[in-house]
Amino acid sequence: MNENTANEPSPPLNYLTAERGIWSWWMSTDHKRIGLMYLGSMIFFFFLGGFIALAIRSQLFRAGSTLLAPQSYNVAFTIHGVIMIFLFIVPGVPATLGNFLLPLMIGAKDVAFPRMNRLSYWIYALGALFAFGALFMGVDTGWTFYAPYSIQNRWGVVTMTLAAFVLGFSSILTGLNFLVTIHKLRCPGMSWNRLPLFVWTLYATAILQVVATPVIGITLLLLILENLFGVGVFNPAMGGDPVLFQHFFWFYSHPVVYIMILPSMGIISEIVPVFSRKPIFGYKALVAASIGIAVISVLVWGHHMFVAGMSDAARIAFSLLTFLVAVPTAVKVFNWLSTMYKGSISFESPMLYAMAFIFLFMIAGTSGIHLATLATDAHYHDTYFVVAHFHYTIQGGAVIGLYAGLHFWFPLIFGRVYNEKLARLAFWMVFIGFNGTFLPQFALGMEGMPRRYFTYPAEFEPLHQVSTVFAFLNGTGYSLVLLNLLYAAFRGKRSPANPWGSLGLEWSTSLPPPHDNFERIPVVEDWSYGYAQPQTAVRLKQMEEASRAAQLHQGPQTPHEGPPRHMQPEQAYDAAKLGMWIFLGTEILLFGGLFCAYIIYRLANLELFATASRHLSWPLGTLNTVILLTSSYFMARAVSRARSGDNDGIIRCLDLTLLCALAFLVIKGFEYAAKFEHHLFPPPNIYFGLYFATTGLHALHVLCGMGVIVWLRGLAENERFSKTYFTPVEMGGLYWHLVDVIWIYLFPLLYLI
Amino acid sequence: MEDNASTIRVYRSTLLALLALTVLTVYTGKFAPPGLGSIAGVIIIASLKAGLVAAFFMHLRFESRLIIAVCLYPLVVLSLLIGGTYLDVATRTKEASPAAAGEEQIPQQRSGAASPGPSH
Ligand code: HEM
Ligand SMILES: [Cu+2]
Repeated sequence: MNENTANEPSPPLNYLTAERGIWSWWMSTDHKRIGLMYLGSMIFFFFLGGFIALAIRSQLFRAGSTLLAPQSYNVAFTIHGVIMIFLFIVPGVPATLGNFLLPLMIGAKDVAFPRMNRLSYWIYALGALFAFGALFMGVDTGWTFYAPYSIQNRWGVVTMTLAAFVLGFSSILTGLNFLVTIHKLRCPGMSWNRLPLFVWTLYATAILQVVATPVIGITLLLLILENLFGVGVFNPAMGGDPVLFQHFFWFYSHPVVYIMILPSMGIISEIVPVFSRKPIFGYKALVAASIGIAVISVLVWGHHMFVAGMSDAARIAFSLLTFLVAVPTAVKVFNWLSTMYKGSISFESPMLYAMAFIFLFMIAGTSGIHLATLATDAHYHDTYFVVAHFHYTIQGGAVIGLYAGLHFWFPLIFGRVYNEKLARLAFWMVFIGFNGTFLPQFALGMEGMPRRYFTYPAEFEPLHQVSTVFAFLNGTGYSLVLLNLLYAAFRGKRSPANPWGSLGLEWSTSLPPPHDNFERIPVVEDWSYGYAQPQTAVRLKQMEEASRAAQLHQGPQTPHEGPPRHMQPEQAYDAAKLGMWIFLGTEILLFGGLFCAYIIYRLANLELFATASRHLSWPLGTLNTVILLTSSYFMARAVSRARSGDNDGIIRCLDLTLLCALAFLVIKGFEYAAKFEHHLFPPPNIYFGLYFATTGLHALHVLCGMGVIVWLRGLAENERFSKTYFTPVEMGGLYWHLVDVIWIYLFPLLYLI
Repeated sequence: MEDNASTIRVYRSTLLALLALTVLTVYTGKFAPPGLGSIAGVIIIASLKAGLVAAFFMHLRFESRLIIAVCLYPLVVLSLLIGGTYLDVATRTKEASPAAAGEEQIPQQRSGAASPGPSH
């Protein structure tokens, strides 16, 4: 290595240069590369969605314009919404900056499950492909897919919702990975009360990702089944209730707005102290606010349905609960302001974005309060007031936060600096363009301009024209940001170590970081917000030296194959177990949506369900219950065999489990055949709709479980397990038991009562 | 938890208990007087069975508080979903619900109008 520096000082290898070629990116398990791949794909979709937005705005420039035909207009706003929500801002900050920074900020070499991380990107790519296909199929339901309009058997809706379903799965994997990483991979000294605030918001976000996403998963699945076979759950013609779709949809889609914004809030909490040179004000309150927002956000979904036909009691309850959201969000704003108070603030581009975030988010939040008020919402609902509100939250909040973070961490990500003057110019274009676009829309909404209309009466024209003109300024601003950063990524000047003088752990490695992040796992002695303290200068100096040293020491690395060995065996076992239980939790919630539908309809249709359930054969159901319980027993034995290191025992027990599973499916097959013969499929009523949906989904899980068992059996035959390593058997076992537990509920609910 | 006589005994007793509860649940659901009592009965029994599987087969009784929390959290969230939705459906009236104008409680009325099930 010394010779290397003596002769030709070839640029040190880092995560960008460690391996070359597109294939090495696609196959990479490095969290930094995966973050960048997400970033690239998402920025692409951001601009695609942006172009469509400009087309929409152009159509609205004139009352009675014919630029877009009415139907094309409906398709355009649907595509715009779907792209911006599902392909851009839901993966958003966690998948990009979160992926890149989380391990660096907690002193780890990678996330807990690097291969799962890569899988989540692949799944994202698959979902994007589906969504892309659906773009050409003329979906015009809006991104909300409200039933019953969306259940009229159209392949476009099926493809689009399938895309959203797939993308949701990717989101769950990211959330799960982050939760386990934060719990199990923090470096020594990184206690919970030193955890960077950005990491805390990723944590709160990850919780929402794993609890809310399964509910949208089952909702979209039901929508797909409804379109293909007619389950009836959302179909008024079959006694279904379309408002139930809205309940399910918003149970996910309200929390999801916090999935979008929470990480951006975390970014602001990181940037404000650095550029104010003051410790963050109210660290604990900010943490509590993040968790508080996550908790409250699953309690307020009904505020999207105030005029959808919900009961008075529910409306009042949801309105009240919604007001609660304002408390933790206001806590955040006050803490940022207090951090800046009397600080020595400098206004580089990251700080400009951060301050814009605070300003815009205030407008967003206060307009939300208007919408949360029942009386005013009756007027504002489905008008441009709502459009302005959520653009202030999502674009003014989540997107501006993402751009703040991109500018802040850019030198770390690429090891280069961008043109600051250009960055500021672009910022002002974005900021002015944004406000000019959406402030008039508040006024339009108050005057009664409805959303999702391709044209409007002439009196709305002036405000629409203002909005359109500024929208183009907004778009130009974003393009300038992109050009500036793209150029700098390849051609920018090399960044000095720790250019902003941040105390964050991520800056103590070389820029850009090496494949393994840190040469040695760091030991943390303090939180990262200790600015303007006697020891601050010393610590900054140490960090700079560490960063420079990391650069020098980083001679040519052997390209890495597969994930780094970043965990001790015990740690890996704990991580796998925690991950598995979180996954099981998402499965419970997936089926939970079906249980919820069952309960609602059951209580409303006692007679219908009781008579219909007599068409199922309870003796066969009982037999299947016994079989599945027995299979669980064998599975438990397989695991304890594995713990004793008895390979043949594992195989024997797995075979018996497999046999039970097969018997279960055969019996199920007979039952289904009988139903088909009696013309109970497609389902004649909701009871059978739910019967086929639940048992079908369960049978699918049995099949997956069998696949897992076969795989485990193969590993056992190759003697891959030992007394000290049996994690896969145990995890497979947990999954299998869950399949059993779900059946334990399905059996009585469907067959017996 | 190695595969020795005592764990085998625990697993066997668990299975036996599960099978016994299955018999009980069939009795409660099919042979006891029908009604809300029997519905509640089978759900309670199912929860007992699920608890047994989780505690013994899935070793939840040996797990850390974190994992137990991970296991309970979805149930809390699910009860919120059910609770919030049910709050709406159960309290809907004609006046409160423009969508239901001219109808009684939505699901009941509409399903009444729809196919009454394959009872013929
Ligand atoms: C103080 C905080 C907030 C309150 C009180 C609030 C309240 C509301 C209410 C009541 C509505 C429904 C309006 C209607 O349809 O009539 C709404 C819509 C919406 N909000 Fe918020 N909100 C808040 C923050 C946010 C944030 C942070 C985001 C996103 C990051 C967001 C995104 C949205 C979206 C996307 C919609 C409309 C969805 C649609 O109908 O297409 N909101 N908000
Ligand atoms: Cu909401």
